[in-house]
Amino acid sequence: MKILLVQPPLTMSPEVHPPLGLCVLASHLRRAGHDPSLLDLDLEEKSRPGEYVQTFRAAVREHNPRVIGFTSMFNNSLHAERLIQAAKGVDDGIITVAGGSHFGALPRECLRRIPQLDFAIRGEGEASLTALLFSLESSTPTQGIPSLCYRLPGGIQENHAASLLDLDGVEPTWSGLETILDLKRYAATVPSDSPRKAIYIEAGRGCPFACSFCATAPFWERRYRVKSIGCIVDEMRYLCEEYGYDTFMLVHDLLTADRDFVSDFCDAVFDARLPVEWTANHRADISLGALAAKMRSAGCLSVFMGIESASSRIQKEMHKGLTHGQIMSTVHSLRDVAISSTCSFIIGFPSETAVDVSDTLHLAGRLKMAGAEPVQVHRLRRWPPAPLAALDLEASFDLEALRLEYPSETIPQEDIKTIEADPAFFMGYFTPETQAGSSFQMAQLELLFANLLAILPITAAALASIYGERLVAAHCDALMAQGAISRADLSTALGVRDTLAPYIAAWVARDDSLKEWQRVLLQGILAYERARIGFMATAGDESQATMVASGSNWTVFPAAINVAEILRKLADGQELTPDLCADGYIALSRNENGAVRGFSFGGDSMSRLRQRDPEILSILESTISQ
Amino acid sequence: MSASQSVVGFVPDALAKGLHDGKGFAHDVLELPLEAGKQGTHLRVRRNDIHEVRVGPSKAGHTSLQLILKPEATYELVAKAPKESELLTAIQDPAFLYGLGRLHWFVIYAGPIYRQQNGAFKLVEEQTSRS
Repeated sequence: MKILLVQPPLTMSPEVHPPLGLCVLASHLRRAGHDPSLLDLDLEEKSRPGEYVQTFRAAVREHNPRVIGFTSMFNNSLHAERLIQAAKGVDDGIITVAGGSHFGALPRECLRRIPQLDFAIRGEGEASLTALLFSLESSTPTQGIPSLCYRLPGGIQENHAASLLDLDGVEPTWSGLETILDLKRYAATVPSDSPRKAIYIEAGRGCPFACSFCATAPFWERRYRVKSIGCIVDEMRYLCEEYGYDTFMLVHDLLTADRDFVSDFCDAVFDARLPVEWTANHRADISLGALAAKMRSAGCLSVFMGIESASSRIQKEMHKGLTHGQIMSTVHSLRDVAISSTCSFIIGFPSETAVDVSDTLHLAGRLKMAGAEPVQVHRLRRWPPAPLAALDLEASFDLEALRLEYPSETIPQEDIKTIEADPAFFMGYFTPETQAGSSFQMAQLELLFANLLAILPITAAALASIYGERLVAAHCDALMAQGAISRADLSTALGVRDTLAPYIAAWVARDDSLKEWQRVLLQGILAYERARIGFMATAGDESQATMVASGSNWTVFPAAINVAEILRKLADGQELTPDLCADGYIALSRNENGAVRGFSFGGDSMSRLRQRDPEILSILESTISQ
Repeated sequence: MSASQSVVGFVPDALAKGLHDGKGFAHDVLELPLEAGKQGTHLRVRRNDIHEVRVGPSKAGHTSLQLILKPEATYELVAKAPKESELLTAIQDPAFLYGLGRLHWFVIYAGPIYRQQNGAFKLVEEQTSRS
């Protein structure tokens, strides 16, 4: 049967990845004997922005499908809704089916919202959609089709749940899609100067843990499943050899939950000798031991870990239970074998206090100083079917949360009104109340620290260290005195620097609770980071004005702090102390590969440098330019 | 499943090919960098201690290597770092290291996995960045 699978517009990013869920589904349908086509409106929007509905109508007329399947993430389900309406507008006889993260989590609610939708599938879609197409083709009843939701005269019917697929027997996805998916178009969206060509591939599904905020674990019924190692390696080989992809983001809720599988997978990738690297999800309380080195030798580039909170109470409440010891040990052991750790934090749990959030940001700063990269800060959101989404919590509409994820830069007023009017369906954009602060304060805190940790990380870590448990309270005072930060000003590294550095400088200058040495220290760190960003961005900046010496690839400027020692203390979790305020100089250099190094120096060498002593300049240049 | 200890690292492609063919040992000791293209830290393994050389993928001129060691084998970790002089102190600013695979400044000691394997870690050499 002819079916058109549709991905609505998804992101603002110019780099587009193939819609993994639909590709896996299309591969499955094809092997079951159906005739799927794929329309990726996220890709089409890049060449014809704002025209996704027209593009869709034209594709429907061209393909003339009997059935159209729509997937939805939480940020584009309103777009999917419009497309479903448009489908019936083109041909009322077309059968519409919906699934994916949002519609698949709330199938009854989506049938309630969208009169033009005929069927919705809860959870994993392969078996149900295949059975539905067979039923439509043979005109047999739909009652027995598992996980299917549809309207009956008496109301909405939801059939019993489908059993989960045995992923071990699944065939490779990509090589079977050549006639319906032009991977070259996706590969062409990777910027030419990008050091990597990355693509998502499915390694498996399901995480056995029960974190209260997590939607994907219950979506896959918490059953850990993996595709066969041979299948995954075959997909990597195909995408590498045919399309030049060299980095694979292995999609699995928690791949490292089965260390034996990961070990065997590493052996297979190593033996395949493919010139590729890969990333995967990990948990800080899963001890990798010697497996970490094996992962690196097999091309593991980085792992993603949800750290969430520094508070043991909040860790317990969210049913995660990570400890500081586990977290630090894992980041260090991965760092030792050159695997990068992405560490993600969540702030704004209902019972979380301002002190809890302060501690969390302190830990985030320490991890960043210890080598985790990147360190992310997100506000708590509720995505069904997460256990937290089932709780009756006080929540309010959060336009800032919507702005973060909406597929286009501006959100039409009509869309805002539609989302605001249905909090049960769009609950992800209604943030729950928290003891830590108001929605506005939490949004500003998220915006500030997410950007500080990325661009001015030493400042972020030092602020968190100096203020300790008072950090959030001090931020609220600064917010009241100085007003809000605008996301629009933070689109580039230099934009972040030029917006946030003055903001922090004013905060520190006006806060009477700080001791004088703390103020000097924070201002000194800010000055250093401003100069470093300017040097690394090779842009004209204020470091030029204070520069005391320079060469073709190096510069020296004064500093009121001991940067080297501050970094060591922040990484070790030690308190910052007054002796770190010490006059000295900083030298930054860039080698022929663009790698930047930094040195600090003080004492007798300073006065010699001020006098531009040729000997010391010579030593300086020969040392820092290596 | 029997287990054996191994060390991993990256060597230039030509050396990897030679090792695979059994011709790559110019000396009795092999120096195995922990990161591709980085000389900051390497493992020093005696030829006679190597049971098997496993050659993995190659990228940008460097090949991933696994050396399966004999049961009683030992090895040394060598960290090369700029010597702290009276004049200059290196700033270990994470901003310099971002960009994937630029973690060499942090790998200046043997991580837990090496210590767990045979306890052979020791700092055996330090080189200055200038003469």
